[in-house]
Amino acid sequence: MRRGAAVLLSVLAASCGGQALAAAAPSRVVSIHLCADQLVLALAERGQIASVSWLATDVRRSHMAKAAAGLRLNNGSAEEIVALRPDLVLAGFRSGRATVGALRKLGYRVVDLEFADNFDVVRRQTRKVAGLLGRAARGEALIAEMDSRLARAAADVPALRPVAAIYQPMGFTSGRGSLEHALMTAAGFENLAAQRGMGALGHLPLESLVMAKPAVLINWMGNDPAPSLARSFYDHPALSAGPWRTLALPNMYWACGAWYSALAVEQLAGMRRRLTAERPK
Amino acid sequence: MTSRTGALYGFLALAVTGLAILSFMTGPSALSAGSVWSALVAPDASPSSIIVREIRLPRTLLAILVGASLGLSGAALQGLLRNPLAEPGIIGASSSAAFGTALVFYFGLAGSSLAVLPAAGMTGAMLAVGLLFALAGRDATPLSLILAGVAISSFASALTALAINLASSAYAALEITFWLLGSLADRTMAHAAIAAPAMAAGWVLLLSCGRGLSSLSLGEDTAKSLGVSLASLRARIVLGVALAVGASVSVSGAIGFVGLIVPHLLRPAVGHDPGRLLGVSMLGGAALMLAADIVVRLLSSGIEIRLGVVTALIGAPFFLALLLQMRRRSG
Repeated sequence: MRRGAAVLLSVLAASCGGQALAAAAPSRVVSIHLCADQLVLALAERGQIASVSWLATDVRRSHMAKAAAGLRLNNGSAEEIVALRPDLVLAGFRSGRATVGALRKLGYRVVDLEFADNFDVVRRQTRKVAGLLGRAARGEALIAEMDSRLARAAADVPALRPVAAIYQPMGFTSGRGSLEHALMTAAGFENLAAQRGMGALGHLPLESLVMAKPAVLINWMGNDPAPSLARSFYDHPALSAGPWRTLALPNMYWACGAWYSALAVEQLAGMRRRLTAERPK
Repeated sequence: MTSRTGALYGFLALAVTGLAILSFMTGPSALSAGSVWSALVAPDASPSSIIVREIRLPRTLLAILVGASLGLSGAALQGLLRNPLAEPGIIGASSSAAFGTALVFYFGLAGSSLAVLPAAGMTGAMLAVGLLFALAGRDATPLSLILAGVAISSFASALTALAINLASSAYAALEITFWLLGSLADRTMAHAAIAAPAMAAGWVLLLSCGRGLSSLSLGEDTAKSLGVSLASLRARIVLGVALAVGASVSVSGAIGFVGLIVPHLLRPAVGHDPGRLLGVSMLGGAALMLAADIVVRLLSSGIEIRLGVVTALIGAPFFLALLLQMRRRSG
């Protein structure tokens, strides 16, 4: 019945001469995950969005923080989502299973998004959400923009790729199968962790990093201003004593794989070009 | 100093030196003794030199400083309270110091410098020791002392967890274990430098209590007749423990049981004299902490085990054995 009302509403909206949304397009979309927020905010008509997650307005983690301003935010609890009367709920890979289960039981349409750890998944996911929202053309435009950025970044990759290491607090690093790996590789770097056979989450003690001497050290904490042990770790003198260049990428780029990940790839490729310009081999 | 105590000091100093050398040699990258030595005497910009000077040296120094502080504080508290179960961790001084430090670290550091951390730790430790005296009194039974300590300790740990959950950093919540279980991984020389002065002041205060504690072991009245001022003794120990433990915890997190095990093991060797126990417990604490920190590095293949986990794995059974022993004696 609730869904019937929603369909009726959207049909009314369409027949009232509004924008040509497909009749079946949802009109009360609720996203309960930061990564789903990004796609919803970039793809949907503003009027389609009933609510996004509370992280969507956090400029440190959300690329679309500006677009999220003024929208209703949710904490992802079943109770507040039901109160929003959604006709489509977008959940992420880390959304509470209990919440998602409860919503499905109540008859809501919940679509799970997987974590995009490479650009193929980004393309697939963007098309999927664009389709769900009835905004296929906008989705294709985002993908085309991303692909042209990626092509430019990969245009001048040398045969001998410089080695970069991504350093996370407490000695974690990201190897093959991680979003970090996808970004570094797309920018023309060799990933130290992947070289050493590490999977998506590897462990690289500070000592081993110093011994490996990568050309570039990517600071995973980026620009997080809040004090934490994790951040103080980047002040360690052993990190500044090495011969490498460091690059701090805002940690928004590690939170979700999305079309804007290409912007991170551009920054990384810029660093790679500066390196090769300095030390011609 | 009798020749027996002299031999004990010699043995402990040798153990600390040997373990310190081992600590320099232990780590994920295999460095030869030669490269460690040349990094120490003739530092250059090579990776092995950076590893030795910036990673292993502060770690080894801090293990010695923190271990000595905890061992000495444990011995002093046990002497003052005439209770073998007293220890900075058990009476809640460590967890309260961790709370004070975490509070400043996550909320107040923006406008201040690293050097405030020990002060915050000391304030926390001081409050805990003061509260313990108020709650358990000075003639506390072992049971009431432990109960008071457990209450203070759990309360401080809960406050630490609460404070960190409210911190604005997304990573802070993962860092609760550092404050509650302690670690010396990837600390820097700056940490050693900010903590060392406060620790040294605490050591001086506590070591000055030797004669007083020896007299006190003969009973309060005897101690008074020997000219010992109990009020001054208590004040010096409270302040000394606050300085030493507060400064330790502010750079290493709360590490338990060191102050319990060390004095207990060494007590027979100094003829059960709480005054002579102080100095040897310092060296013993340093040795135990170095050993525990080496074990942590040897056991860990991925992320390091917390130092407090290792000391608790040794210390908790030890604590229970002590309790059983006391019950048998009294029953």
